[in-house]
Amino acid sequence: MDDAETLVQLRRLALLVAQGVPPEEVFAAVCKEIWRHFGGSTARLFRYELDGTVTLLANEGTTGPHVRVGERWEGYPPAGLTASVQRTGKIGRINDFRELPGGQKYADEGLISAVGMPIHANGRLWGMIAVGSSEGRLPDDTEARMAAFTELCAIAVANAQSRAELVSSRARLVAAADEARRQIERDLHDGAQQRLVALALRLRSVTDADGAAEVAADLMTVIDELRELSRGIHPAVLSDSGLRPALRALARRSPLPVEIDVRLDARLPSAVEIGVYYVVSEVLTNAVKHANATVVLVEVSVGEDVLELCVRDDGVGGADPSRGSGLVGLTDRIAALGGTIEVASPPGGGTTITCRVPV
Amino acid sequence: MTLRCLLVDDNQHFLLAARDLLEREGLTVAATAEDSAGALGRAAELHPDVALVDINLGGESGFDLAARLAPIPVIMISTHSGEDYADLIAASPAIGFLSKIELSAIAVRDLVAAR
Ligand SMILES: Nc1ncnc2c1ncn2[C@@H]1O[C@H](COP(=O)(O)OP(=O)(O)OP(=O)(O)O)[C@@H](O)[C@H]1O
Ligand SMILES: [Mg+2]
Repeated sequence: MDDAETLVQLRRLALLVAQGVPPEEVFAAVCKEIWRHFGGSTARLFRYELDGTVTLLANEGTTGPHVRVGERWEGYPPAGLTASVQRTGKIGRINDFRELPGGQKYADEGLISAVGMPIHANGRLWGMIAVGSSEGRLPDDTEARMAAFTELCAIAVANAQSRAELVSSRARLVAAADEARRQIERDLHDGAQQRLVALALRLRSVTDADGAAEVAADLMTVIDELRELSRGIHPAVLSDSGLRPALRALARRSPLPVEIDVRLDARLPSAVEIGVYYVVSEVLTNAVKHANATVVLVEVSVGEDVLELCVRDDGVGGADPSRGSGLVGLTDRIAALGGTIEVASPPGGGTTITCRVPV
Repeated sequence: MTLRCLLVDDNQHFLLAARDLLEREGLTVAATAEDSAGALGRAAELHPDVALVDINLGGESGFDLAARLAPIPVIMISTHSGEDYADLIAASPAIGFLSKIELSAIAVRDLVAAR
């Protein structure tokens, strides 16, 4: 295959990604181009998931009962390509599946040899592209040829995925903002506004000082309610005095003991201050709601050009973002600031949320 | 003859204050209810001359209730501005709308008389 044709192939992929087609289509197209490019019998694209499982994203060529696109790739032998690339993050090769322990099902599909290339994206092992041959041993230059071509394909694949993630995170952010406004309207309407209407009616029938005193006392509770509500919309102390006093105020209001260590000299961009504030606020709420914790630690420090936040509770662990909207919302919010957030929550081992945001 | 009315609103503070005010101003509040089921029950029992129904009864629609209360004349009430709901009020069997803050015995009587 010559360079001109390679360029045509890559251009096709780049166009697909630019059009924003669903990632599944890009995965299938990439797989097909690789299969074509190497004239092999089989090409396969896998993704290594964060929980250690593997998903088969696309398949072209030979197949068998274990080949189920879009599903978990299971029962792969420890010395096979999937496992070795996952373990080492490096290129792997099988010269003869018939000699690989546990490799019989691949031999049964008609495969003899295969080469697997790792795909790295965003600083981690993202997946693997594998090319297989039924003819015999893949030529020695396969690795070198694959390295150049798959690197470009990997970019297409990773871009397609991050683009899809971006689209859904953007939609979630907008939906969360809309929902928050709806909630504020409801709280205002069902709470303070109704109370004030009732008080206005009562004032019209007040005839003595006692009645007036009652109305005045009720007005105080409405004022308290409004103060709580406006703090929920945006804490004033955060905008006028910054993160440290705002976090200390959050900690004081929490029913759990909170130890707080904010090492911070200057004010930060307000988007960052607000983002960090909401992370701490949600995580404290979670610790109270779910963790059965006895204490929560909050640490904030600012390095060269990154803010680091760590919130840790000593509770039951087992936090799972897919069970609610709070943690997913934080991930979206921090991602929008160009930052990252990690949730470590082993069962019985407490919950630690680590967050890094560029400043 | 004093007008006997049924007050329907999901907010207790409002029910208490409105009942007080309307009675002081010379209406009889035959009953209050916080939801549709309660309102229909009290209406069947007491045959009020007019029902004052909040447009938004928590999860329930005050307009739906208004239709089910027929032939009892209904005045829709709300803390929201009547303008927002003008079309819905016009399309409903309600005989009119009163903002909660403007509630008075005279306003209720006027709407019932103008029907
Ligand atoms: N600190 C924690 N300790 C133990 N479990 C937790 C902790 N934080 C979260 N979880 C678990 O993870 C799930 C997801 O949390 P998340 O904050 O996303 O949702 P939620 O708190 O249930 O609801 P909301 O959308 O109101 O935040 C929770 O339902 C809970 O089971
Ligand atoms: Mg939560």
